[in-house]
Amino acid sequence: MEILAAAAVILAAGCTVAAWIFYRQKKNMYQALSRMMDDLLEDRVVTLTDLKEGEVSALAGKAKRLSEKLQSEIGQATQEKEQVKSLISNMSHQLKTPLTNIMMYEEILSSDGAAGTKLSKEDQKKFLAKMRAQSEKVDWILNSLFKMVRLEQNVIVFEAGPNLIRKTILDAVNLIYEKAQRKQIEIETEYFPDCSLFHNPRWTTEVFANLLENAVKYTPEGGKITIGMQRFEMYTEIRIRDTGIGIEQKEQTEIFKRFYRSRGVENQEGSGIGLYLSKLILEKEKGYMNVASRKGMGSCFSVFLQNSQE
Amino acid sequence: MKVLEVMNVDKTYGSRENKVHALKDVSFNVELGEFSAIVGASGSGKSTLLNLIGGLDIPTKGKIVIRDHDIAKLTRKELTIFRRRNIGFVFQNYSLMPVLNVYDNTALPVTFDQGKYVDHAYIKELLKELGLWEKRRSYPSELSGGQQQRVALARALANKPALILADEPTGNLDSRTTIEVMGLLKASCKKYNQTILMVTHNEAIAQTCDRIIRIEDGRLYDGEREFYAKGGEVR
Repeated sequence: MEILAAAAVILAAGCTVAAWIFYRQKKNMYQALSRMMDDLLEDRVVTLTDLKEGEVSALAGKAKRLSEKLQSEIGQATQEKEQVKSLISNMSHQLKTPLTNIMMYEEILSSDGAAGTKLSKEDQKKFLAKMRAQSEKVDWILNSLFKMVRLEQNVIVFEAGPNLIRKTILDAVNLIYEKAQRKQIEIETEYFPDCSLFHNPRWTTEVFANLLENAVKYTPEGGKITIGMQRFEMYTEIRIRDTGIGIEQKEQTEIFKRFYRSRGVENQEGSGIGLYLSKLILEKEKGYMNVASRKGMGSCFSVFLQNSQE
Repeated sequence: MKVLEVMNVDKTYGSRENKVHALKDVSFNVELGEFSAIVGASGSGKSTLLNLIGGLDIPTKGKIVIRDHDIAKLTRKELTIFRRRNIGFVFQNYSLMPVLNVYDNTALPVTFDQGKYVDHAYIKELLKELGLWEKRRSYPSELSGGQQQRVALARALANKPALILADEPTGNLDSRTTIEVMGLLKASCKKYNQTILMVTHNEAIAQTCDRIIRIEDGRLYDGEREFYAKGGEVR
């Protein structure tokens, strides 16, 4: 009986000690974590090491990443502010020329008959047509700028899903067909089975229209544009090949950057937005594009879109 | 926000007559979420650079700082843990565990770090994203080269590392599968806001990156050419 009682006492004591140790450990861990949380809350660098084995250290690693994420978001916000600044200066530059032109035409038209000069009906019509073309240009620039800014800042979230690709490309071709005909550029399509790709038809039409428009713009009269496709396991490649002026090797990475214009075509119409906008759109669809080109031989832009998974 | 800072790094191998100056005064930074390519001919020092950044080797001079840790100052044990938590590797030869299936290969770095508490939902999402979910029970030997490299990519992403180092990830692949792996690298870089540093000698592949760092004879020469906003006149 006495032995039993003694055993019980020893057991109880053992339990108490174990409980106490356990309690201490828990308290230590709690304190370490609590200090870490304080660091996070006060925007301090997390002092707990993330270079040891064990749960607390693994958590410290995650806490550090958390604070980095916050920091990077703050950094991004500042960067966006800078971007907006440079954008505004750029926008004013882009809009200046067409606006100057409009003002000039307006002046000519309103001075009609003033200083003894008389514009014929035909001339009047000509200037009005020119004015309209310029206004359309302004409209186009503003539209693409808005789209670009909103895509960049993730304001537009468009739904991409499995959609048939042929119609998307056809829509794009229709948009530029007239321009191509005017320059007597032939548009040829290689074997093109319709298939379902992960994309948003409306936005992707814009990508292809941009690429085709460039192709028409930089291909001399009587040239040829070929549209081809190739299926891979996860991606499908859509190629747009032209027989145009081509792009120099060292410029092939640059052309996808915002507002970049190749030195050789500075005098041609263009804003340096199209390719950048296309790249942004494709990135939102988990796709990408690249270019292969040789100066004077033509360019081939490839768009890669993911195959839809059943 | 800088993830990686390389400051005036020199690396020499051997001594006296056999001395090889692999890197000379290399400095650059990598920002969070950037997808950069290091381009150079073979022997230009690009792999040496990647080894230094990965903590596989120590610079002779200069500093490499990843997420505020000077990696030359870490002990071996610390370096192992640091690498596991912060760096994901993708190698040319995939380096998968032949005895583990796709799922286990992917979850491996997480298992090392956190025992059996694996974020199953995340791994599933990753594998679906990379088109490997149907193949999750297959073994590496049953997969094509491109599929194996996709598994390696999933594994590199599994631990949500601060930095992914890819050494010629498409070096062993034909042009068809290269397209696949590059597309997925790019898509996951965007989706998970991952920072990726990729070594390649292929200009066409580097083209899809945000930034190109060129290296020649152990020296960096600036990939970011001045680019001018002066648009063509709109007429």
